[in-house]
Amino acid sequence: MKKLLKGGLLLGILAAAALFFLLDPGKHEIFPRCIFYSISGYYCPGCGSQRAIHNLLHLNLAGVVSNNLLFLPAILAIAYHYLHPLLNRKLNWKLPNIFYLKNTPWIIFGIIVVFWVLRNVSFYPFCVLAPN
Amino acid sequence: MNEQQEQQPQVSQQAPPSNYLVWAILTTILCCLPFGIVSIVYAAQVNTKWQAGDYDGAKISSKNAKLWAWVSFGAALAGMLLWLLLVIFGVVAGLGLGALDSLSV
Repeated sequence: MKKLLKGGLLLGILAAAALFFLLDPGKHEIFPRCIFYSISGYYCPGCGSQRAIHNLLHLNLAGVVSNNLLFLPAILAIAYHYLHPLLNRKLNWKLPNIFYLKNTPWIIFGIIVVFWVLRNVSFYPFCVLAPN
Repeated sequence: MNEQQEQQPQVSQQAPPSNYLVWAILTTILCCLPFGIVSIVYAAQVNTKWQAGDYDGAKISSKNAKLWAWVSFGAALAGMLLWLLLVIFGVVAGLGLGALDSLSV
């Protein structure tokens, strides 16, 4: 049962990746629009991530950054979360689990809130943060 | 004295409860609704409470961090399904109108 579930999940992710590779979320209606943006008219910290996934799958890093500046850091954070115990075990490194340091969540909270506010400011240089 | 020395390492050797911070980040940046922010705040509480020695409080915050990461994910999923329904409905309605057009021509 668990194997089936994992297989299904993997298949779902692959299908989603194929869809995000083939179609540009900025141009097709089938991709859901951000609910927060639809209701309020303001960008949220996640706005632009679907276009960022499309750009990432096409290895267009400039596109990823311009759609959502925090998308790459978020991916790297998740990679670190899974890689650091592996590296510590295999290579005898002593990387700390940064997510359990006292101030890490507050720093991340601050970065996201500041990003959220600034990307809604409509003049240069902050307008660069808005998804394009 | 001896008792104290034994007690202290016992506590610090225990791992803190999961703060689900990675999932909070993931749902904040990938899902569109800002519920992930709530999860980040709870993740922060897990770390501070654990280091202050409030182990039960840390466990409660851990549960809340998990809950709000799921709420964020669930809201995004619900929004996606709702959008899909609207698209299907729109396509069907469009087809219906198209059919009417072809009838009237």
